Amino acid sequence: MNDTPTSPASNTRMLRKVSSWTGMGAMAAIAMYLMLASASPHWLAAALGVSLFAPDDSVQKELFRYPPFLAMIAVFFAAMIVATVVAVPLRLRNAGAWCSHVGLLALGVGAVWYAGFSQSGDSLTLRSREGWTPVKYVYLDRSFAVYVHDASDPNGRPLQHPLAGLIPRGDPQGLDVTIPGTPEGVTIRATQFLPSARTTRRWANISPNIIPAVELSVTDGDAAGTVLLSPSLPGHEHVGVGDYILTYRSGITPEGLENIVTPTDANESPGMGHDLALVLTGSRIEPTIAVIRPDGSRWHARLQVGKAIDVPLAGRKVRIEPRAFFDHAAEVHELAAPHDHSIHQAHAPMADEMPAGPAVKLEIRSGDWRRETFVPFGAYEDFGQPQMIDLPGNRAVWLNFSRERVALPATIEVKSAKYETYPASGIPKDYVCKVAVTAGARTSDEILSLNNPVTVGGFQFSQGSWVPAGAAEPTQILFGAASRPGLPIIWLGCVLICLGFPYAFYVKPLLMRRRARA
Amino acid sequence: MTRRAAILACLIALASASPFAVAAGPPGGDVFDANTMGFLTKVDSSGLGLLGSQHRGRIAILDTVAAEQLDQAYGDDSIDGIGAAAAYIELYFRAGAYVDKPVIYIRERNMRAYLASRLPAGRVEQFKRTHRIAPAGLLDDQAWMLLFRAGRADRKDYVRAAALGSLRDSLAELSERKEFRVPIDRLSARYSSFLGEGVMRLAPGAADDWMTAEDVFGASAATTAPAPAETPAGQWRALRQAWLARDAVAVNKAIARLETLLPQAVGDRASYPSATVRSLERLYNRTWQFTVLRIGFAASLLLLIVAAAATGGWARRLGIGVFSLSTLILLAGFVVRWILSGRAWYLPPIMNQFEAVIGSALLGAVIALIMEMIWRQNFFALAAAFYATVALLAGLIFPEQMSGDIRAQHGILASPVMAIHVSVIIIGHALVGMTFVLSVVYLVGYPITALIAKTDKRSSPPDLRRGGEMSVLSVIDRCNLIVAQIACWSVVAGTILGAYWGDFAWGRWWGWDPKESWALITAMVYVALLHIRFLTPTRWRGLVTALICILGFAAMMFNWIVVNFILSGKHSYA
Repeated sequence: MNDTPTSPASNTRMLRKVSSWTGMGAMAAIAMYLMLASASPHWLAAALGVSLFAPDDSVQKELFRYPPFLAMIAVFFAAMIVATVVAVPLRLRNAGAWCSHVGLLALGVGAVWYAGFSQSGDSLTLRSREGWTPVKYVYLDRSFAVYVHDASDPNGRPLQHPLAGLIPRGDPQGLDVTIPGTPEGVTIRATQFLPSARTTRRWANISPNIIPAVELSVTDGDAAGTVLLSPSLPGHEHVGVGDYILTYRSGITPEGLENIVTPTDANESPGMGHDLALVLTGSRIEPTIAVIRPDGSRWHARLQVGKAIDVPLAGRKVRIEPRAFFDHAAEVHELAAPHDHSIHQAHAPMADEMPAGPAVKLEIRSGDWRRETFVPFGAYEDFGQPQMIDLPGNRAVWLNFSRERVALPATIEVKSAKYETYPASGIPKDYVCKVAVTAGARTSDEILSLNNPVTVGGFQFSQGSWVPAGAAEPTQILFGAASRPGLPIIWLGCVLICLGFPYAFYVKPLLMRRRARA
Repeated sequence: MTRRAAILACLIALASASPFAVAAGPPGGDVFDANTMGFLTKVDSSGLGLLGSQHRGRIAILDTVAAEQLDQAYGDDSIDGIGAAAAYIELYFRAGAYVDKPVIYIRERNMRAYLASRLPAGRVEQFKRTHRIAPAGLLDDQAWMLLFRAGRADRKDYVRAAALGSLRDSLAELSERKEFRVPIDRLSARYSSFLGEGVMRLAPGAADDWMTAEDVFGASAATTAPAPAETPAGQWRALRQAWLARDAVAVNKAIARLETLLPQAVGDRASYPSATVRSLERLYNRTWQFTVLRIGFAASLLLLIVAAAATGGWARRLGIGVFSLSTLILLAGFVVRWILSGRAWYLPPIMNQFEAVIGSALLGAVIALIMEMIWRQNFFALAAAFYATVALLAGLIFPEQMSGDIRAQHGILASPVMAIHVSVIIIGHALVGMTFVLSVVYLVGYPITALIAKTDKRSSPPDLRRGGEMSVLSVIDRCNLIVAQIACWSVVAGTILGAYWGDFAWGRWWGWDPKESWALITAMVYVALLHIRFLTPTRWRGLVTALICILGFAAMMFNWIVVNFILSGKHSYA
């Protein structure tokens, strides 16, 4: 702070200078940011630590919601207002500057209004034999919801409970939202949000049928892996490693053990010139591994879960360790948190797992009973696979994790869809949907095509994408949908900006000349 | 033939009689032997070329289709002085006869050197002269692999090849060899548009798409019963028979019948272009090469530099005259293209990269002429002439991205708002280009003036129309400011119009698409310029203006070239 007394005029001059240059500086900063964000969005996002999570690839959208960027814009507008008030006297000759600046301000206000209150998303319709599924909802782009459906209520419908602010946080930890459970006495809490979950696979004794199996860890030279062998599971009957075959037989009797080691069994003889390694179990025998060689010689040893033994196979030592024996083997697929909680680093899935997209972890309580489960994300609740959770007392609940949706006051039903191309060119001419918009008893027919949106319930629907692309009759149509509040203010601002320029360029000099003459 | 068409025919004859035209003298050429030449000169090639053919979403003339194909394969739209339609039809009908004729133009120099080293001694001379090779010469496996790999690696068409049936045969022969199957298949896919198959759509059929030549002549599975003689397909078959029998009289008779039958067969489904429009298309094909215009704008640029330097009356008059004439010719071509494109009337030819660049040159030139009428300085026309010259040269720099073929535009562009949005934006581009030229002139002039120690110390740039004593630098600065002001308005208004269109076309008025971001950056640079002028001491204003205008031009060029070709976004229709 300058302590020396200053005159009002010099204060004003100072303010004018500071505000003008601040405005210019903010513009330069915005321009630099825009350059980086458009030319190299991923680099910028990584550098700034902006969360990139979204169901679709909308890196850039997140970058343009980055608070420091919005702050730059706010600084620009503040500087513009101050500079205009201080430096541009409110006179007729300055009407152009005022008009443009007020227009820009209106544009800014409209844009803030639009950004704050607009709902944008999409609606999906699928073609079936009965026709196109009616569009009843708009699924919003950046909001998520847990859907709870009380399965014991015959008239129940999935009720949505929005999970606000998942994207900006993008944080896998620290979620604690209590979702009002529809079934009485049940509480459901969202405890964790996973932007990118993984599906793990493991074997467990949970099949209702008798399916004997053994899980082995096999190390053969540099190659190591886990194999599941079962005579009852297609694809798991044996493992062939080129010069030996590994297989599993259960229910072997001590007598059978003697027989099977004799190379007379046509099915199991090492007739193909390979060593045959058999893992054998039975109620009256210890688990055994037997090796039969093409020359008739054999070798066998005891097997113990968790203990590795070197098996002489195909002229080398192959290390085999039984991990588990199963009687009711079944594969369990489970969602789990990624190994690395950082969402910026791509996680390379391991052999027994695959990326499963976003998921939310829910905790369900009913009295003392408690269960945790991951619910995977599906972009559309009505086309998704809900997860059923059995509750105590013969009750059940369906859970779904999807985007927040807005119910439309009318349904849109596609009556016909036609992809048109220009003759002999393959260039898209139009995507035309004849739609029926039904609100109560009233139905109106409309055309939804390129450059020709249809507005229903405050949402403007426009053509999005057709699947398969380029097919004359698609099976899926995605409509873009957006509500557009604040748009009139935006257009008003734009008109004022466009009028202000020519006034400042051409009318102002005329007025100035006239004044100079007078 | 109508009287207008006759006049046009005279014009065409005049145009083709330029001193650079190949003299149709010798009885046999590089490709066609004496017999063929004799036959082809008797064929009514003019009538043949004017027959309608469905092409890229409109009914073009066969001349256009054939010229495009020949240009791709042969590197020129006439062979041995025979016009495109007759030459292409000859190659198409008698593909086998041209396996060992030099019909494939090799564009890349290293490739030419390589091929020359592998050719038999007797053919090297001709190859070095024409840069064209026979398909048989390309049967060399290594040559193919090299062409294929180089083409793929650099994503260029090193070989202007394969329009011709003969090459198709070579490909088929090669692809039978197992080790080449995959690459050759890929190559075929890459060059499929030149391969001839499905390229010519000769006769209206039951569907909206016309029958392809393969349908008509029975080479494809779609051909069913023989067509009755009094249908276009039947006449085309008669024409082919007569052609192969070298019966020029029968060929010409079939051409005359087709001229009558085609409009009838098209009926009401689409409008078959009138004889006048078709003649206009041929005139457009033959004259619309920009060479004259490039020379015209470059000449006016030189004259206007002289006029600006010497303030000479004659140089200005001549320069403005040449500039106006060039603009007028460009405008005529623009209007003809508008008519030929067959689009809705409200869609001017500014719908793809090529058209936008040419349209920008034209609109910039028109605005510069208006400015010259008001302010009577040479700098507006000078800047516009430079911009137009460069814009017309862009096609030579980016031949692949700036193909001048007339084609339909993506359906989402077919909106009047879109047309206005693009028009205003490309006016903005032209003006931004002009400010760049003026800024460079200013920056070059600045140190010279400083050396002469006559730096302008005026408080503000003088009023151009008031006359009085002005330094050249002040005049340039004043001109620069005038252009920059309109450029700023155009970029801002054009972007706003784009937002308005985006709202109903895409459902969002602003989406931070790279193109939108860079339009905003360009607009901000010019808005900043207009404000910084107030904040800068007067003696530096011209310099600051010039520097910022160069920044604005850089942003605009980045948007036009890098964003269009490299960054993907919603604006990638063009």
